[in-house]
Amino acid sequence: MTAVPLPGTPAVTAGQVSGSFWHAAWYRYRQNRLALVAGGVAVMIGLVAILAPFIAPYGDASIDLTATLAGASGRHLLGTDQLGRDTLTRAIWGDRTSMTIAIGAPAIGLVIGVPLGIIAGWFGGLFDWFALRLFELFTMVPTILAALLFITVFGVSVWKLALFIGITLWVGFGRLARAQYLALRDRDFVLAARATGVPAWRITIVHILPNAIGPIIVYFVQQVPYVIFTAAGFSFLGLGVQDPLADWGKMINDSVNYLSLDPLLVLVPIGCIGLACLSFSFLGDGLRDALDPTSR
Amino acid sequence: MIAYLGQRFLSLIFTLLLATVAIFAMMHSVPGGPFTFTQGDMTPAAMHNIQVKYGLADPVWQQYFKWLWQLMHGYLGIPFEEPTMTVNHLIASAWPITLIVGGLTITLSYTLGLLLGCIAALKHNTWVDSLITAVVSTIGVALPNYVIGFLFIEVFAIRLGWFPVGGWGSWKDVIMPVVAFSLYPMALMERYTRASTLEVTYADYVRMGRARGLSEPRIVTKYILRTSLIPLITIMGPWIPNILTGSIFIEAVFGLPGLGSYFTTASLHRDYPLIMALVLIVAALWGVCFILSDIAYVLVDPRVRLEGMSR
Amino acid sequence: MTDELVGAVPVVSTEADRGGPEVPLLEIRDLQVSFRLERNTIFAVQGLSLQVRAGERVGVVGESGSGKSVSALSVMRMVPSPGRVTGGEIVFEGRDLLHLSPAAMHHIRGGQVGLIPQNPLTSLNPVITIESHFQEVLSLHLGLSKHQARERTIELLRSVGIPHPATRLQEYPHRLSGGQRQRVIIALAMACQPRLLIADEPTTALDVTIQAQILELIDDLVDRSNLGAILITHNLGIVAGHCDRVVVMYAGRVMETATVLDLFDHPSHPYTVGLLRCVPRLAATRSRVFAAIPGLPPQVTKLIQGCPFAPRCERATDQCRAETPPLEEIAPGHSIACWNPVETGEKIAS
Repeated sequence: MTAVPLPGTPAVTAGQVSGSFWHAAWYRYRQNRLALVAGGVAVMIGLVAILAPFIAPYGDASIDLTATLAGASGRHLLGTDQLGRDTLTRAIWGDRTSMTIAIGAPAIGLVIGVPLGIIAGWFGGLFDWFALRLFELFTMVPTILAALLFITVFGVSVWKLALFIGITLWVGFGRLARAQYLALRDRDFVLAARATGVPAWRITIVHILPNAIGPIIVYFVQQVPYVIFTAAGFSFLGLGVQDPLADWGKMINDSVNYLSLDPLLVLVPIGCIGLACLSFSFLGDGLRDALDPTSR
Repeated sequence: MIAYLGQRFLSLIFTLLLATVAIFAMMHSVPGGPFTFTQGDMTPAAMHNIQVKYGLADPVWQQYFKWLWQLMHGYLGIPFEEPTMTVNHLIASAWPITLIVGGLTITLSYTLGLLLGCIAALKHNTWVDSLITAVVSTIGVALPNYVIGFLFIEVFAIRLGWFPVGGWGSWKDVIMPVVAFSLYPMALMERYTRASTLEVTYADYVRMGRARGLSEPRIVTKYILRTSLIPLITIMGPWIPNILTGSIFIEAVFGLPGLGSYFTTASLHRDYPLIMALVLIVAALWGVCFILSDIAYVLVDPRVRLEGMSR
Repeated sequence: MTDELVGAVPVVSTEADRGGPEVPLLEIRDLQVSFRLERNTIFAVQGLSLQVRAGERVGVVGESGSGKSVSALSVMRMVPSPGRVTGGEIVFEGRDLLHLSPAAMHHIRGGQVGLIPQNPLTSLNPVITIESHFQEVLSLHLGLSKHQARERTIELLRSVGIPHPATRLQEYPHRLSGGQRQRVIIALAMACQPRLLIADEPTTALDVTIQAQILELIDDLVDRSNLGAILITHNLGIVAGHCDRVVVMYAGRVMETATVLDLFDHPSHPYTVGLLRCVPRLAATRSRVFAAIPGLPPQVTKLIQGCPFAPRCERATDQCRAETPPLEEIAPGHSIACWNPVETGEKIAS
């Protein structure tokens, strides 16, 4: 039995994302304490990255050869490494480097993948077939190997790392966007829009995108820990960020030999990586639960 | 069915070739060949001689076809860094190691992941679920596997002396790398299993099964798990080639002379034959696993029988 | 149980239109079911009472959210969590179902009481064959061997009108159409010769043409085996054609209960009158606007003072808004919960 609204009450639209959807999602998110904490930590990590030049006690390349491998002290809160670089400073600047890559790479993946996925999902047919072949092609080589390949061919820098890793991520975004659009294309509200003559570009962007964006955001956040791993891993192998820049992986690599002398040197970057990965991971989970409570 | 397989196979070959072309082109697009770094300073004449010797002076497309031709004869070329061996030989010596580590990792992570995921889902809303989910998500996600590996070495090898620090000699060398490598796939597997099983737990037909008085064990096995485990095949399949071709990082940390390490050095030295061979293997492996998991899915899920498969 | 639910004493006459022994097969007394959520509690059923006799079909009518499905599920003690039965009694063949041991309850489900659910498309296990579905219950409740089970399955499928039953045994559910699946489900519900059938909107998800067939099938089975049946629906047409007695529910409570003839001839509760008015009539002239009951049914998150229908009722008085009307008999076999009922003879505006 359909309900006829009482005079004075607004009619209810079903099936579409509206302002209240985001309110409800925000409410659900707030209920999740773990996600709140994780979100807070992630924001802080981001802030440190942005404000690095202002909060780091020393410049990003400063060396103090008189205080090498010094333990924690007033002047060097977390000690120094074998070249006299202040660990805290390196950790902060490393935050900036790691975060640039960690956010930049998924962003690139998103920018490449989502439009392609939209085209495949919306138009279907030959476009879809072609996109699926592309997906297959790029999935064949594992992402790490592919990024490695790019690095060895084109050299490495912070931006190049972000770019290469980002390129290997596009398939995930593409698949996701495609799945979303395939599913939403046949919904009633799309049908209604088409029936009233709304042009395709407008439908895909203004009508469908707000509905599809939820899982895409979640996926984005979930890629961050993976990118941090990978970038740090490359640095660990010597293929990542180069001196004098710092990033957490490189810090580990540089200090591996001095573990017994000064464990802090290794523990600090490990701690940073761990904190960042955990917080973004739980943030991603929290977002997923908030935006789609049916996925328990 | 045969037609479907044939079609998949062909499209696979096509994509493979495309991949090799792309990589070949990429490697040759940047100036500087495999010898610019390794041999130090050389007169241009000497350099030219070497290049001719290895066929690098030919136009790129010609090099590619030569390579392709050799490939059809099962010959993968000679690695630039070890001119006394063939690529086939090199790979044959390195791959078993990677395979062993990879195989063990798959077994461990898949079984544990499946088990924990099922338990967590069936005990949804109890402390068991919360515990498993919390522990697994934290472990699997917190640290990269090489960092964990590094910590393992630090704790178990150096401090406690239970295991050797690295290298490849006895069965003891296998344990730490496998465990470190398994954590992430296990966590992912647990997550997916749990999600899939939870979805099914609240399905209508499960409720109806209960409404007919069926016993709980029967509901769990025949109604819940039987359906929830099927979609996992599509996930499990594609990971296998990734794991089987080794984690570069793990092999680096534990000093395992497997494929991963060769990939690193080959990349660094622009060792084209080696790189191409490795990429080809990985891609082919991926393709095969993909097809196999497709077949497995069709066999296991009665809803997805392909046209032409009559009773 | 709260003080507000005063006077909800079931008064149903001992005479039924269709034959049956004096002792009811199923008796629900003052059932209360609530769902404890994070922020509030939903009182889904507040004081439902009804009786079903062998050979009798009782229809339970109401809008979505009236509590009718939940009531049916409570009989089988399958209310989904976080719902719980918080009061009342359910007596089946003299046994108190609410306090039965789990083992005994398992036997009741499928063995003594059969459930026909709303959505046939998702109610069969997609990965086991039709034959397996039957074999499970037949061996469980009746102890039949594989061979015996197969014979019986073929019989059952035939009795629900599935052609060539022997060939369908090895099929998987997705190969059957919606109507066929519903027939299979009905056969499954009947497989172990239950005494009571509960059909929860059995035809809502089906084509109109199939609806009629399924309902006739249910009628037929009830007749032949002298079962009791509860038919839950929001469709008054179905009630008119296939039920003996009706219970009208709103917001978790009973508004009116009567025999079908009485209900359609002398509807007394304003809600029932409103429902009847909503049924479009073929003979209406072109200018007729579809009638509707304005407003939306409440989500019952607190125990309301007064009649739950008052906000939407044209006849609501101050007493209606202040005091909850008790369910009282106004004629033999006909009870309503209303302070200001529609008098017999009052014109139902059409």
